[in-house]
Amino acid sequence: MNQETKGKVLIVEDDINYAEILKRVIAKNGYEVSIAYDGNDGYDKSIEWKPDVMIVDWMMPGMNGVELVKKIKEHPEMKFCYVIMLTARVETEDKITGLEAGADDFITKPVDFGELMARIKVGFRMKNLQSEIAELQHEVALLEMARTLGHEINNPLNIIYLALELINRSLKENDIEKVKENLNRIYQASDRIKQIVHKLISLKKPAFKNYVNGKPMLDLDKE
Amino acid sequence: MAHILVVEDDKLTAQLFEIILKRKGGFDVTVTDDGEKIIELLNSGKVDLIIMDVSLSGTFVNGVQVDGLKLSKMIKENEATSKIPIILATAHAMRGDAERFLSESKADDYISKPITDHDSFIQKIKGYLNEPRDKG
Repeated sequence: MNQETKGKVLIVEDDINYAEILKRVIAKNGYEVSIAYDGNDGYDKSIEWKPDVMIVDWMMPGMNGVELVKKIKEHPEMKFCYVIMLTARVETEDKITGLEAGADDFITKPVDFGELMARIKVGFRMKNLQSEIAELQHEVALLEMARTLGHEINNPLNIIYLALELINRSLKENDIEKVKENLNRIYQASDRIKQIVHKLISLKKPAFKNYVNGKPMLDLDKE
Repeated sequence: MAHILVVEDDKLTAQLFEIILKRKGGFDVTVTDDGEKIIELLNSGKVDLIIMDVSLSGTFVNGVQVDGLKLSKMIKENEATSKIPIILATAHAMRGDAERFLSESKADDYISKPITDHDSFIQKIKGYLNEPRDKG
């Protein structure tokens, strides 16, 4: 088996024999395959099993393919699942209905297995790209967090170090009033750090503001 | 006595910079983040060095809001003030940011906040003050 991207494919097809044929073809190409025999079953299985690619028959009793696709794409964990619709229809209007419901691709019955496998491969490629993008966005968010912490905490830390330096001098000069004055500054700076930490841990939905030259940082003052 | 201009919007930080520079370095110090005052001071020719905070919140020059990078660039691109050394004070967390800030602002040097070694901070300033101003 020289399949480099193995993954999960869910077939939703009410024709049991046809579903089995599809399953054999796809499994032979190295993918893990599962079958659901109607729309409702397909929905439950997809939520539970979280396939990467779904092959959904358009015409099914109960929940039809278009309704199923719509429901899947509304689910937060399933919206990146790549859905290929199996259809006997070729009319543009139907394709529009399917695309608007959230279908990613179509294949017309009778299915050419070579074409089916090529389209499944495209589905996995799209899925992988989406994961890469999500990872990049995650990295960007982390960098913004680091920039925020740098700015918001380094400034009060700077005050603390400056005040400590002054306390050292004042102690040598036995100037207790100056020591008190600087202790108060340290207290104020510590309080700022406390507030920043509090804001960070109570952050619900991150908002961003401009730092310098177009670089974003978290806006901790947005509730 | 060398005169240092500190451009810093945080009051507490500004106050402490002033004390440290005066007491430890023996410099004359002016602290402000008022754009017009800054320009006026620079035009008077009495500023020997500038400590510039990178992120300013309320500094305007000719009605345009500027951060420390823009302000620094303006000073460096004005022939009358281009030779005044500028040290950026940055609380940036990211490696690489400082280098980029430096090239964009045309500032001479930078110091990362928090400043923990105040002696070398003063030494760094003195180093720039001792350099001949007309070296071209």
